[in-house]
Amino acid sequence: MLYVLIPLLPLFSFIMVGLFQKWMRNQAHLICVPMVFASFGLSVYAFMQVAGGNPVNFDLYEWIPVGDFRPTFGIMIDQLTASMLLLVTLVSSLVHLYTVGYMHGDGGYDRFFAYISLFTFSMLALVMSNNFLQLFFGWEMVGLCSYLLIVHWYERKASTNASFKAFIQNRVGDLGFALGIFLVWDTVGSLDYGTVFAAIGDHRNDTMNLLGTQVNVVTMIALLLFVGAVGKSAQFLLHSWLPDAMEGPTPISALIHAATMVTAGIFMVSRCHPIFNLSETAMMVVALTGAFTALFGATIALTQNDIKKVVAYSTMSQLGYMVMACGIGAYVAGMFHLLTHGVFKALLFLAAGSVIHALSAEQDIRKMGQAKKYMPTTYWTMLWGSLALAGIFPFAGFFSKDEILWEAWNAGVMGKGLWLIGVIVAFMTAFYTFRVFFMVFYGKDNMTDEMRSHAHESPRVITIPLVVLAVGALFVGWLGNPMFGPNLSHNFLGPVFNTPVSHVPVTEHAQLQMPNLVGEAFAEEGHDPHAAPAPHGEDPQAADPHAMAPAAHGAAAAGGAEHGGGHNKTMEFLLMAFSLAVAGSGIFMAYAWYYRPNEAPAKLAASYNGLYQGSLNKWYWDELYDAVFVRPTVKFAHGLWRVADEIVIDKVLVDGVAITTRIGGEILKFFQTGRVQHYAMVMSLGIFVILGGFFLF
Amino acid sequence: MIPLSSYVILSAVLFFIGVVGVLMRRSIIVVLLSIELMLNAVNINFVAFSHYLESITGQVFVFFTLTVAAAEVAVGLALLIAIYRNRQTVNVEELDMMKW
Amino acid sequence: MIEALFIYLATVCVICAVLTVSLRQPVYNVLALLTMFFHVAGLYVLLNAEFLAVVQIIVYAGAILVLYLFVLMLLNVRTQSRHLHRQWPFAVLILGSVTAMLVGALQDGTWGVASGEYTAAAIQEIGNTQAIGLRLYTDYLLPFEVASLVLLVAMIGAIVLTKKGLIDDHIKE
Repeated sequence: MLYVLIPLLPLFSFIMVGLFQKWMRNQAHLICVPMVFASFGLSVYAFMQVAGGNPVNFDLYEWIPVGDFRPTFGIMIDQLTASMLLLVTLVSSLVHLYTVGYMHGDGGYDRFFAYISLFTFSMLALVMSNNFLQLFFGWEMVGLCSYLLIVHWYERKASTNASFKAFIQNRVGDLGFALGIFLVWDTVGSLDYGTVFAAIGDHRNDTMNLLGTQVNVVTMIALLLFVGAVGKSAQFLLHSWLPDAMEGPTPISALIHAATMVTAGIFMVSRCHPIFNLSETAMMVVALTGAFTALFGATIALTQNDIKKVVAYSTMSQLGYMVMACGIGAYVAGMFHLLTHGVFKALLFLAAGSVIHALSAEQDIRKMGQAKKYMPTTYWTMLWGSLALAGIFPFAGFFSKDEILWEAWNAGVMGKGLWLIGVIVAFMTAFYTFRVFFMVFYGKDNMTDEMRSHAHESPRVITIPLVVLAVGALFVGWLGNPMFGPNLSHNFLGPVFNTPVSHVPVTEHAQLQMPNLVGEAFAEEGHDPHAAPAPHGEDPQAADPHAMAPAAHGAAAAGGAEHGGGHNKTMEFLLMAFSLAVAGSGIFMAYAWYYRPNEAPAKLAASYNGLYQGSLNKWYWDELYDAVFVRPTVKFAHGLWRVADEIVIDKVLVDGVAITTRIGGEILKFFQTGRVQHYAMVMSLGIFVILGGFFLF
Repeated sequence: MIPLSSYVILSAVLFFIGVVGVLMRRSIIVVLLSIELMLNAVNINFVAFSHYLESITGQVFVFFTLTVAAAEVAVGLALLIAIYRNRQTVNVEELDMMKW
Repeated sequence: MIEALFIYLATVCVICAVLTVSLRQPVYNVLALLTMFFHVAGLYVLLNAEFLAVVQIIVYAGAILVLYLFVLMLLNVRTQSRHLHRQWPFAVLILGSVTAMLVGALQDGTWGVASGEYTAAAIQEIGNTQAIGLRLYTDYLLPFEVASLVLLVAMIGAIVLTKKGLIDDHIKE
């Protein structure tokens, strides 16, 4: 029950700061920071407990019981949740701390703290959920907090526009997500993870009528849920809100739009892997969407000039990576990348924020340069973050990214294509990351004199989180190293997903298959969906729905197994070396072009002007959406305003009521003489009429 | 033996004479007197029913009616004096401030 | 004998009531009402309600009507040239027909059943006053106290309303 405190402590600080904001006098951090650190401490405890083999799953209370629909508020902490808890509370704590310095002197200081505490609560409620409805609750709440925090500087038009965009695009995704949940309820009749995942296999071949065609229900559920993930994780088609969300304060970009909220989509897909695994089509859609987003984001990030925009597009691209990993069934790799990415991307954002903070709120990298001498700590931490993002050994990104690439390589023919995309993206990532790095800290000094005179290292409250995260960026990757010692990330997360760990031959793996964690937790209550272990040995593929991973993946795993572990290991190292070389060449290219002022980039841009303009303008998706959705809506609304509002409502209804009332009043006022006896006379008349009626009938 | 209906009819007649008085007199004083008349009509009813139904409750109610009538007279006449002092009239028709 | 007495009392009551609402001079109105009250008291006696008959004379005739007379003298209102409201024929017509309808309807009817609790004989045995008093101070104690409160409020109200300077200024504003 102690775990209940993990989300409740931030909620408490939100309530305190939110209610008593007026009396806070910019001291809100005195409440919020200790609370979120306490929450972090409890998360560490929870992580230890889970690592020690004590996952929990219990219901707190029934929420809104309606007939058979009895949703509960519950807490489930398994390996997946525990890792997310650790990431969320760690980044949130550091961001809280960072905010103390970054938002110092801001008019909405206390409000800001209230909202990030609320966000922390919502995110924790999301990851700790043990049913779909609570997941949806957290899902919506984080969306709301994202909106509230993007619009923190609400007097800026750009902020309000960005917040609307984020909110509306998220709504589109959430609609799909909600429909998916409805369909889950309709199909299984429960929203509880354990029940749903145990029963969904029985509905593998169910079909439903969608606009006259019969479609597979499970595929439909998976796709609808994925629509939610697309919106929340800024995947292609609902991606354009994420870069615009950078209008919010930088701590928010780090916490919400890099490390935690945007990864909710990947978390959700991983959590719902029993559903996704049943549908080959859905998995393919997921994988392709992820791959395309990765490529798409990376190409845009190449040319952006706003330091935060570059990091934002890189976030989008990396999220694509993770989604791609989920799409090929490599949930462990996806989650592992999520965790490492959370650390180093938060670091990059906070470092970028530190740069912005130091350089008089300038965000355009063309107006920076030679900043190294002013801010050594920021320089070093940003270097580490960049190396991690670029995927250079031994930083975190190297391990997690290469694991995804390795899993993709093993995932059949399509996987080879995805691998190729992944490598190209890795190259671009290395290039644009270091493009920013060199332009800010080396290159030509383009700062104005005023900026230069104010340039300074950020205060310690800002640099401490940077250093902590930088250390994290260096070490967290080793948890998933494939070379020496045990692969901790697989050992820890693997049981949740039941996915073939590439080092284990598939036949052996099928026998070793552990029941998934939800089932395990339920076993304590006697509802183990895998209660009969006997069929596993006889026919593992048929007996366990979770083993029915997409055929492509299964084939690849089997193929890998035939070659034996040794060959795989060699191949893996070869690929690692290859991608390391690719990333290195990306960095070298950035070095060659941007370390010293250089004409090469401009020349290249001029010779491929079409491509350059396309990338610079985000491939014109904003313009496309503007033309397809925004403008027709505005036109329609304008029409409604002119006709429905001004004529029908204003003139006919509102004015009409007023005019009728006034004319009626003008007539009726002659009956109001103000003389008592007239009124009494009318009353008598009434008596007469009533009595007369009584006598007549 | 006088039937109960005789009393009830008498009471009704007196009551409506009172109502007519309220409706047709211009002087507030007589309007108030007419109200007294109506109250008495009601009292006759109470007492008659009390007698014929062999229950004392009706007479108790008359007692209360008397109390209310006394209060009404006190306040009514006080109002009358206040009005007269301000408007120099007791004519109901001239007291028409309650209009548009 | 009792029927004759009833007819006499009822006739005088109605005549006096008509006079009360129709006479021009307010003083005559009051005097007509006074006459009527005496006859109503007579009706009460016919109905075995001696206590109420006495109270009727003391309170109505002795207090209320005297109060009216005082006010009349005090204000010394000019007799109005036109003492009836313009709508008077209409009022008489409408309410006359209502009365006619009621009289027609009330001609015969049975209302309730005699409870037998307070028969004429029973009341005579303990006396009308004691019978009322017993009920008043047991079952109707709370209404009785409330009634005293009503009187108190009326008293204060009358003083506040008539005292010069207490509300006059506000009215003039």
